[in-house]
Amino acid sequence: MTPKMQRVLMMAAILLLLAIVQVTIAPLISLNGVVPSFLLIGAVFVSLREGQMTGMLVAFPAGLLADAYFSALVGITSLSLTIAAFAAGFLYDEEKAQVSLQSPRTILIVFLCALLFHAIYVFAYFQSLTIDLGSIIALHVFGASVYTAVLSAIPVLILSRRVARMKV
Amino acid sequence: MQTLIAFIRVFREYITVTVLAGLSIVLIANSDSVPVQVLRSYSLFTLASLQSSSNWVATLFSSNQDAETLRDVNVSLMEEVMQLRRLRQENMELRRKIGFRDRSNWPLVPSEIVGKNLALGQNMITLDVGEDDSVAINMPVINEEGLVGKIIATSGSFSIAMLALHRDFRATAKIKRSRIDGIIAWREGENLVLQNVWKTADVIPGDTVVTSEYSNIFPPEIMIGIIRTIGPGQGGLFSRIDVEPRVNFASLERVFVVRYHREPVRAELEQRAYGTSEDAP
Repeated sequence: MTPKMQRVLMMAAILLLLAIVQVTIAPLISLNGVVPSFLLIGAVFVSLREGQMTGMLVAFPAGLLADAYFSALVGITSLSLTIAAFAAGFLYDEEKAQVSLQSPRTILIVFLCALLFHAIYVFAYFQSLTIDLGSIIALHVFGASVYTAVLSAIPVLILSRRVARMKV
Repeated sequence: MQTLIAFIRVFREYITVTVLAGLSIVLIANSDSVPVQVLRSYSLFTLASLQSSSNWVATLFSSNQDAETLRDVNVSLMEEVMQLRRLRQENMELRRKIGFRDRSNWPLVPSEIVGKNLALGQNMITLDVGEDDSVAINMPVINEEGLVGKIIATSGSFSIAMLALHRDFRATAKIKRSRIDGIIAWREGENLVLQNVWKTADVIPGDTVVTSEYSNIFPPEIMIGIIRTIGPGQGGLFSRIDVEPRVNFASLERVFVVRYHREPVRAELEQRAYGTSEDAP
Protein backbone atom coordinates (compact mmCIF):
# COMPACT_ATOMS: atom_id res chain seq x y z
CA MET A 1 0.00 0.00 0.00
CA THR A 2 1.39 3.41 -0.98
CA PRO A 3 1.98 6.05 1.73
CA LYS A 4 -0.61 8.28 0.00
CA MET A 5 -3.19 5.49 0.18
CA GLN A 6 -2.38 4.88 3.84
CA ARG A 7 -2.89 8.57 4.57
CA VAL A 8 -6.24 8.60 2.76
CA LEU A 9 -7.45 5.57 4.74
CA MET A 10 -6.34 7.21 7.98
CA MET A 11 -8.25 10.39 7.06
CA ALA A 12 -11.34 8.29 6.27
CA ALA A 13 -11.05 6.59 9.67
CA ILE A 14 -10.71 9.98 11.42
CA LEU A 15 -13.78 11.33 9.63
CA LEU A 16 -15.85 8.26 10.51
CA LEU A 17 -14.75 8.75 14.11
CA LEU A 18 -15.88 12.38 13.85
CA ALA A 19 -19.27 11.19 12.55
CA ILE A 20 -19.62 9.20 15.79
CA VAL A 21 -18.54 12.25 17.83
CA GLN A 22 -21.05 14.36 15.90
CA VAL A 23 -24.03 12.20 16.88
CA THR A 24 -22.89 11.34 20.41
CA ILE A 25 -21.05 14.39 21.84
CA ALA A 26 -22.20 17.38 19.75
CA PRO A 27 -25.82 17.39 21.07
CA LEU A 28 -24.44 17.62 24.63
CA ILE A 29 -22.61 20.89 23.91
CA SER A 30 -25.35 22.58 21.89
CA LEU A 31 -26.08 26.24 22.73
CA ASN A 32 -29.70 27.29 22.28
CA GLY A 33 -30.18 24.49 19.76
CA VAL A 34 -27.05 25.45 17.81
CA VAL A 35 -24.79 22.44 17.31
CA PRO A 36 -21.19 22.72 16.01
CA SER A 37 -20.21 20.48 13.15
CA PHE A 38 -17.17 18.36 13.99
CA LEU A 39 -17.65 16.61 10.67
CA LEU A 40 -17.19 19.87 8.81
CA ILE A 41 -14.01 20.73 10.71
CA GLY A 42 -12.66 17.27 9.81
CA ALA A 43 -13.68 17.54 6.15
CA VAL A 44 -12.08 21.00 5.76
CA PHE A 45 -8.85 19.84 7.41
CA VAL A 46 -8.69 16.77 5.13
CA SER A 47 -9.30 18.94 2.03
CA LEU A 48 -6.60 21.44 3.07
CA ARG A 49 -4.16 18.63 3.89
CA GLU A 50 -4.84 16.12 1.07
CA GLY A 51 -6.70 18.07 -1.60
CA GLN A 52 -10.16 18.37 -3.05
CA MET A 53 -10.58 14.79 -4.27
CA THR A 54 -9.64 13.08 -0.98
CA GLY A 55 -11.66 15.61 0.99
CA MET A 56 -14.82 14.86 -1.00
CA LEU A 57 -14.31 11.09 -1.03
CA VAL A 58 -14.03 10.87 2.76
CA ALA A 59 -16.64 13.56 3.51
CA PHE A 60 -19.37 11.78 1.57
CA PRO A 61 -19.50 8.45 3.50
CA ALA A 62 -19.02 10.23 6.83
CA GLY A 63 -21.99 12.51 6.09
CA LEU A 64 -24.01 9.52 4.96
CA LEU A 65 -23.33 7.66 8.22
CA ALA A 66 -24.48 10.66 10.28
CA ASP A 67 -27.55 11.06 8.04
CA ALA A 68 -28.56 7.42 8.21
CA TYR A 69 -28.53 7.61 11.97
CA PHE A 70 -30.14 10.92 12.73
CA SER A 71 -31.81 12.53 9.78
CA ALA A 72 -35.19 12.11 8.11
CA LEU A 73 -33.56 13.11 4.83
CA VAL A 74 -30.72 10.69 4.17
CA GLY A 75 -28.17 12.40 1.91
CA ILE A 76 -28.60 15.97 3.17
CA THR A 77 -25.43 16.07 5.32
CA SER A 78 -23.41 14.16 2.72
CA LEU A 79 -24.49 16.69 0.05
CA SER A 80 -23.60 19.74 2.16
CA LEU A 81 -20.37 18.21 3.43
CA THR A 82 -19.16 17.10 -0.02
CA ILE A 83 -19.70 20.59 -1.45
CA ALA A 84 -18.01 22.23 1.56
CA ALA A 85 -15.00 19.87 1.16
CA PHE A 86 -14.91 20.69 -2.56
CA ALA A 87 -14.87 24.42 -1.79
CA ALA A 88 -12.16 24.05 0.87
CA GLY A 89 -10.07 22.08 -1.63
CA PHE A 90 -9.61 25.18 -3.78
CA LEU A 91 -7.31 26.52 -1.05
CA TYR A 92 -5.19 23.36 -1.02
CA ASP A 93 -1.54 24.03 -1.64
CA GLU A 94 0.49 20.83 -2.04
CA GLU A 95 3.77 22.42 -0.95
CA LYS A 96 2.37 24.30 2.03
CA ALA A 97 -0.28 21.79 3.12
CA GLN A 98 1.39 21.10 6.47
CA VAL A 99 2.00 24.78 7.24
CA SER A 100 -1.39 26.13 6.20
CA LEU A 101 -3.25 24.03 8.78
CA GLN A 102 -1.49 25.77 11.67
CA SER A 103 -2.27 29.25 10.43
CA PRO A 104 -5.20 31.27 11.89
CA ARG A 105 -6.34 31.55 8.27
CA THR A 106 -7.65 27.98 8.67
CA ILE A 107 -10.26 29.21 11.17
CA LEU A 108 -11.51 31.71 8.62
CA ILE A 109 -11.64 28.97 5.96
CA VAL A 110 -13.60 26.74 8.36
CA PHE A 111 -16.01 29.63 9.03
CA LEU A 112 -16.61 30.27 5.32
CA CYS A 113 -17.05 26.56 4.58
CA ALA A 114 -19.38 26.28 7.59
CA LEU A 115 -21.50 29.11 6.15
CA LEU A 116 -21.70 27.22 2.86
CA PHE A 117 -22.39 23.88 4.59
CA HIS A 118 -25.19 25.23 6.81
CA ALA A 119 -26.68 27.35 4.01
CA ILE A 120 -27.01 24.29 1.72
CA TYR A 121 -28.34 22.22 4.61
CA VAL A 122 -30.93 24.79 5.68
CA PHE A 123 -32.01 25.48 2.11
CA ALA A 124 -32.51 21.77 1.37
CA TYR A 125 -34.20 21.08 4.69
CA PHE A 126 -36.51 24.05 5.13
CA GLN A 127 -37.36 24.83 1.50
CA SER A 128 -40.87 23.37 1.71
CA LEU A 129 -41.85 25.18 4.92
CA THR A 130 -43.46 28.59 5.33
CA ILE A 131 -41.43 29.65 8.35
CA ASP A 132 -39.42 32.64 9.44
CA LEU A 133 -36.31 31.97 7.38
CA GLY A 134 -34.52 35.04 8.79
CA SER A 135 -34.30 33.68 12.32
CA ILE A 136 -33.36 30.21 11.01
CA ILE A 137 -30.49 31.73 9.00
CA ALA A 138 -29.34 33.88 11.93
CA LEU A 139 -29.34 30.99 14.36
CA HIS A 140 -28.63 27.85 12.37
CA VAL A 141 -26.47 29.22 9.55
CA PHE A 142 -24.55 32.12 11.09
CA GLY A 143 -24.67 30.93 14.71
CA ALA A 144 -23.66 27.36 13.91
CA SER A 145 -20.87 28.59 11.58
CA VAL A 146 -19.39 30.83 14.27
CA TYR A 147 -19.58 28.00 16.83
CA THR A 148 -17.91 25.55 14.41
CA ALA A 149 -15.16 28.08 13.53
CA VAL A 150 -14.48 28.77 17.21
CA LEU A 151 -14.10 25.04 17.88
CA SER A 152 -11.80 24.65 14.87
CA ALA A 153 -9.31 26.88 16.71
CA ILE A 154 -8.56 23.93 19.01
CA PRO A 155 -6.95 21.64 16.37
CA VAL A 156 -5.23 24.69 14.79
CA LEU A 157 -3.64 25.61 18.13
CA ILE A 158 -2.65 21.99 18.84
CA LEU A 159 -0.97 21.69 15.42
CA SER A 160 0.86 25.04 15.70
CA ARG A 161 2.13 24.14 19.21
CA ARG A 162 3.35 20.76 18.00
CA VAL A 163 5.31 22.37 15.17
CA ALA A 164 6.73 25.04 17.52
CA ARG A 165 7.94 22.29 19.88
CA MET A 166 9.49 20.36 17.00
CA LYS A 167 11.42 23.50 15.92
CA VAL A 168 12.84 23.94 19.45
CA MET B 1 -10.89 7.82 -26.39
CA GLN B 2 -7.69 9.47 -25.25
CA THR B 3 -9.38 12.85 -25.45
CA LEU B 4 -12.12 11.56 -23.17
CA ILE B 5 -9.61 10.22 -20.65
CA ALA B 6 -7.72 13.52 -20.75
CA PHE B 7 -11.00 15.39 -20.24
CA ILE B 8 -11.89 13.22 -17.22
CA ARG B 9 -8.40 13.68 -15.79
CA VAL B 10 -8.58 17.46 -16.10
CA PHE B 11 -12.09 17.78 -14.70
CA ARG B 12 -12.07 14.82 -12.30
CA GLU B 13 -12.79 16.96 -9.21
CA TYR B 14 -15.78 18.58 -10.91
CA ILE B 15 -17.03 15.22 -12.15
CA THR B 16 -16.64 13.71 -8.65
CA VAL B 17 -18.50 16.55 -6.92
CA THR B 18 -21.31 16.31 -9.50
CA VAL B 19 -21.60 12.52 -9.09
CA LEU B 20 -21.55 12.68 -5.26
CA ALA B 21 -24.01 15.59 -5.16
CA GLY B 22 -26.28 13.73 -7.59
CA LEU B 23 -26.09 10.60 -5.47
CA SER B 24 -26.99 12.63 -2.37
CA ILE B 25 -30.00 14.15 -4.12
CA VAL B 26 -31.17 10.70 -5.25
CA LEU B 27 -30.85 9.51 -1.62
CA ILE B 28 -32.78 12.56 -0.33
CA ALA B 29 -35.56 11.83 -2.81
CA ASN B 30 -35.68 8.15 -1.76
CA SER B 31 -35.26 8.53 1.99
CA ASP B 32 -38.04 6.01 2.65
CA SER B 33 -36.83 3.32 0.23
CA VAL B 34 -35.81 -0.16 1.40
CA PRO B 35 -32.00 0.17 0.78
CA VAL B 36 -31.98 3.43 2.79
CA GLN B 37 -33.90 1.72 5.60
CA VAL B 38 -31.30 -1.08 5.62
CA LEU B 39 -28.51 1.52 5.82
CA ARG B 40 -30.43 3.16 8.67
CA SER B 41 -30.67 -0.07 10.67
CA TYR B 42 -26.91 -0.71 10.35
CA SER B 43 -26.15 2.87 11.37
CA LEU B 44 -28.65 2.65 14.23
CA PHE B 45 -27.14 -0.62 15.44
CA THR B 46 -23.61 0.86 15.49
CA LEU B 47 -24.19 4.41 16.72
CA ALA B 48 -27.11 3.97 19.15
CA SER B 49 -25.14 1.75 21.53
CA LEU B 50 -22.25 4.28 21.46
CA GLN B 51 -24.64 7.12 22.14
CA SER B 52 -26.32 5.16 24.90
CA SER B 53 -22.96 4.63 26.63
CA SER B 54 -22.09 8.36 26.37
CA ASN B 55 -25.35 9.35 28.07
CA TRP B 56 -23.87 9.35 31.58
CA VAL B 57 -22.15 12.68 30.77
CA ALA B 58 -25.50 14.42 30.28
CA THR B 59 -27.17 12.82 33.29
CA LEU B 60 -24.29 13.97 35.57
CA PHE B 61 -25.56 17.55 35.42
CA SER B 62 -29.30 17.00 35.49
CA SER B 63 -30.06 14.20 37.99
CA ASN B 64 -30.39 16.32 41.20
CA GLN B 65 -32.65 18.89 39.62
CA ASP B 66 -34.68 16.14 37.99
CA ALA B 67 -35.24 14.37 41.31
CA GLU B 68 -36.74 17.53 42.83
CA THR B 69 -38.99 18.15 39.83
CA LEU B 70 -40.08 14.51 39.82
CA ARG B 71 -41.05 14.65 43.50
CA ASP B 72 -43.32 17.64 42.79
CA VAL B 73 -44.81 15.96 39.74
CA ASN B 74 -45.35 12.78 41.77
CA VAL B 75 -47.52 14.56 44.35
CA SER B 76 -49.75 16.20 41.74
CA LEU B 77 -49.96 12.94 39.76
CA MET B 78 -51.12 11.03 42.82
CA GLU B 79 -53.99 13.47 43.24
CA GLU B 80 -54.79 13.16 39.57
CA VAL B 81 -54.76 9.35 39.76
CA MET B 82 -57.33 9.40 42.59
CA GLN B 83 -59.58 11.64 40.55
CA LEU B 84 -59.10 9.57 37.39
CA ARG B 85 -59.99 6.34 39.22
CA ARG B 86 -63.29 7.85 40.26
CA LEU B 87 -63.95 9.13 36.73
CA ARG B 88 -63.02 5.76 35.22
CA GLN B 89 -65.53 3.98 37.40
CA GLU B 90 -68.17 6.48 36.38
CA ASN B 91 -67.20 6.18 32.72
CA MET B 92 -67.38 2.36 32.76
CA GLU B 93 -70.87 2.46 34.17
CA LEU B 94 -72.03 4.95 31.55
CA ARG B 95 -70.45 2.96 28.74
CA ARG B 96 -72.17 -0.20 29.86
CA LYS B 97 -75.46 1.65 29.87
CA ILE B 98 -75.06 3.14 26.42
CA GLY B 99 -73.75 -0.13 25.04
CA PHE B 100 -70.56 1.29 23.63
CA ARG B 101 -68.11 -1.20 22.36
CA ASP B 102 -65.21 -1.32 24.78
CA ARG B 103 -62.21 0.22 23.12
CA SER B 104 -59.14 -1.82 23.85
CA ASN B 105 -56.32 -0.37 25.92
CA TRP B 106 -53.30 -0.48 23.68
CA PRO B 107 -50.24 -2.14 25.22
CA LEU B 108 -47.48 0.35 26.03
CA VAL B 109 -43.74 -0.29 25.81
CA PRO B 110 -41.89 1.92 28.31
CA SER B 111 -38.71 3.37 26.92
CA GLU B 112 -35.84 5.64 27.86
CA ILE B 113 -34.47 8.25 25.45
CA VAL B 114 -30.81 7.50 24.80
CA GLY B 115 -30.21 10.17 22.16
CA LYS B 116 -31.76 13.42 21.02
CA ASN B 117 -31.22 15.43 17.89
CA LEU B 118 -33.07 18.71 18.30
CA ALA B 119 -30.80 20.76 16.04
CA LEU B 120 -31.91 22.34 12.78
CA GLY B 121 -35.48 21.13 13.08
CA GLN B 122 -34.42 17.48 12.83
CA ASN B 123 -36.21 16.74 16.11
CA MET B 124 -35.64 13.02 16.41
CA ILE B 125 -35.02 10.83 19.45
CA THR B 126 -33.36 7.44 19.87
CA LEU B 127 -35.18 4.98 22.15
CA ASP B 128 -33.74 1.97 23.95
CA VAL B 129 -36.47 -0.37 22.65
CA GLY B 130 -36.60 -2.00 19.24
CA GLU B 131 -37.84 -4.96 17.23
CA ASP B 132 -37.00 -7.31 20.13
CA ASP B 133 -39.68 -5.46 22.15
CA SER B 134 -42.18 -5.73 19.26
CA VAL B 135 -41.68 -2.08 18.31
CA ALA B 136 -42.34 -1.43 14.61
CA ILE B 137 -42.22 1.48 12.18
CA ASN B 138 -45.15 3.95 12.43
CA MET B 139 -46.07 3.02 16.01
CA PRO B 140 -47.12 6.09 18.01
CA VAL B 141 -44.93 7.46 20.80
CA ILE B 142 -46.60 9.15 23.76
CA ASN B 143 -45.90 10.19 27.33
CA GLU B 144 -48.16 11.06 30.26
CA GLU B 145 -48.71 14.54 28.76
CA GLY B 146 -49.76 13.49 25.27
CA LEU B 147 -48.55 12.80 21.74
CA VAL B 148 -44.78 12.80 21.29
CA GLY B 149 -44.27 11.42 17.77
CA LYS B 150 -43.98 8.18 15.81
CA ILE B 151 -41.37 5.48 15.14
CA ILE B 152 -39.56 5.85 11.82
CA ALA B 153 -36.70 3.32 12.07
CA THR B 154 -35.97 0.24 14.16
CA SER B 155 -33.15 -2.18 14.87
CA GLY B 156 -33.02 -5.13 17.29
CA SER B 157 -32.77 -3.14 20.50
CA PHE B 158 -33.08 0.52 19.44
CA SER B 159 -35.50 2.64 17.48
CA ILE B 160 -35.70 6.22 16.20
CA ALA B 161 -38.80 8.35 16.66
CA MET B 162 -39.75 11.48 14.74
CA LEU B 163 -41.11 14.10 17.13
CA ALA B 164 -44.32 16.04 16.43
CA LEU B 165 -41.99 19.03 16.00
CA HIS B 166 -40.59 17.61 12.76
CA ARG B 167 -41.16 19.17 9.33
CA ASP B 168 -42.53 15.89 7.93
CA PHE B 169 -44.82 15.09 10.84
CA ARG B 170 -48.58 15.06 10.18
CA ALA B 171 -51.46 13.67 12.24
CA THR B 172 -55.19 13.85 11.71
CA ALA B 173 -56.62 15.69 14.70
CA LYS B 174 -59.85 17.10 16.00
CA ILE B 175 -61.02 19.74 18.40
CA LYS B 176 -62.37 17.92 21.43
CA ARG B 177 -65.24 20.34 22.13
CA SER B 178 -66.68 20.96 18.66
CA ARG B 179 -65.37 17.75 16.93
CA ILE B 180 -63.96 19.84 14.04
CA ASP B 181 -61.34 17.90 12.03
CA GLY B 182 -57.97 19.13 10.85
CA ILE B 183 -54.38 18.10 10.27
CA ILE B 184 -51.72 18.86 12.82
CA ALA B 185 -48.25 19.83 11.58
CA TRP B 186 -45.13 21.55 12.89
CA ARG B 187 -44.85 25.29 12.34
CA GLU B 188 -41.57 26.48 13.88
CA GLY B 189 -39.81 26.35 17.21
CA GLU B 190 -42.06 24.49 19.65
CA ASN B 191 -45.34 25.40 17.93
CA LEU B 192 -47.80 23.27 16.03
CA VAL B 193 -50.47 24.36 13.58
CA LEU B 194 -53.92 22.88 12.91
CA GLN B 195 -54.43 22.98 9.15
CA ASN B 196 -57.45 22.59 6.85
CA VAL B 197 -59.99 24.13 9.25
CA TRP B 198 -62.61 26.35 7.61
CA LYS B 199 -62.77 29.99 8.68
CA THR B 200 -66.41 29.53 9.71
CA ALA B 201 -65.68 26.48 11.91
CA ASP B 202 -66.47 26.57 15.62
CA VAL B 203 -62.99 27.07 17.08
CA ILE B 204 -61.98 29.23 20.04
CA PRO B 205 -58.65 29.82 21.80
CA GLY B 206 -58.27 27.39 24.70
CA ASP B 207 -59.89 24.47 22.83
CA THR B 208 -58.19 21.11 23.28
CA VAL B 209 -56.81 19.29 20.22
CA VAL B 210 -56.65 15.47 20.26
CA THR B 211 -55.85 12.77 17.70
CA SER B 212 -58.76 11.79 15.50
CA GLU B 213 -60.27 8.35 14.92
CA TYR B 214 -59.59 8.82 11.19
CA SER B 215 -55.85 8.42 11.66
CA ASN B 216 -54.10 5.42 10.14
CA ILE B 217 -51.29 5.59 12.68
CA PHE B 218 -52.48 7.14 15.94
CA PRO B 219 -55.19 5.84 18.24
CA PRO B 220 -58.00 8.35 18.86
CA GLU B 221 -58.25 10.84 21.74
CA ILE B 222 -54.54 11.25 22.49
CA MET B 223 -53.90 14.76 23.80
CA ILE B 224 -51.96 16.97 21.37
CA GLY B 225 -52.24 20.51 22.70
CA ILE B 226 -54.24 23.67 23.32
CA ILE B 227 -55.28 26.25 20.71
CA ARG B 228 -53.53 29.54 21.43
CA THR B 229 -54.30 31.90 18.56
CA ILE B 230 -56.61 31.91 15.54
CA GLY B 231 -55.96 34.13 12.55
CA PRO B 232 -56.68 34.36 8.83
CA GLY B 233 -54.87 31.68 6.85
CA GLN B 234 -53.37 31.83 3.38
CA GLY B 235 -55.90 31.90 0.56
CA GLY B 236 -58.74 33.19 2.72
CA LEU B 237 -60.75 29.96 3.05
CA PHE B 238 -59.02 28.44 6.05
CA SER B 239 -58.00 29.74 9.49
CA ARG B 240 -54.47 29.76 10.77
CA ILE B 241 -54.70 27.98 14.12
CA ASP B 242 -51.62 27.89 16.35
CA VAL B 243 -51.51 25.01 18.81
CA GLU B 244 -49.27 24.86 21.86
CA PRO B 245 -48.24 21.23 22.37
CA ARG B 246 -48.99 19.74 25.77
CA VAL B 247 -45.74 17.76 25.78
CA ASN B 248 -42.62 19.57 26.94
CA PHE B 249 -40.23 18.32 24.25
CA ALA B 250 -37.15 19.99 25.72
CA SER B 251 -37.28 17.93 28.91
CA LEU B 252 -38.37 14.58 27.46
CA GLU B 253 -36.57 11.65 29.07
CA ARG B 254 -38.93 8.70 29.11
CA VAL B 255 -41.72 7.85 26.68
CA PHE B 256 -44.06 4.98 25.80
CA VAL B 257 -44.35 3.31 22.43
CA VAL B 258 -47.97 2.32 21.78
CA ARG B 259 -48.23 -1.11 20.17
CA TYR B 260 -51.12 0.12 18.06
CA HIS B 261 -52.14 -1.39 14.77
CA ARG B 262 -55.10 -0.31 12.76
CA GLU B 263 -57.79 -2.99 12.40
CA PRO B 264 -56.62 -5.00 9.34
CA VAL B 265 -60.15 -5.29 7.91
CA ARG B 266 -60.62 -1.50 8.09
CA ALA B 267 -57.14 -0.89 6.62
CA GLU B 268 -57.86 -3.22 3.71
CA LEU B 269 -61.24 -1.66 3.02
CA GLU B 270 -59.82 1.89 3.11
CA GLN B 271 -56.93 0.84 0.89
CA ARG B 272 -59.43 -0.47 -1.66
CA ALA B 273 -61.80 2.46 -1.42
CA TYR B 274 -59.50 5.48 -1.08
CA GLY B 275 -56.09 4.08 -1.98
CA THR B 276 -54.63 5.42 1.30
CA SER B 277 -51.35 3.94 2.41
CA GLU B 278 -50.23 2.85 5.88
CA ASP B 279 -47.99 5.90 6.00
CA ALA B 280 -50.84 8.38 5.74
CA PRO B 281 -51.34 10.35 8.96
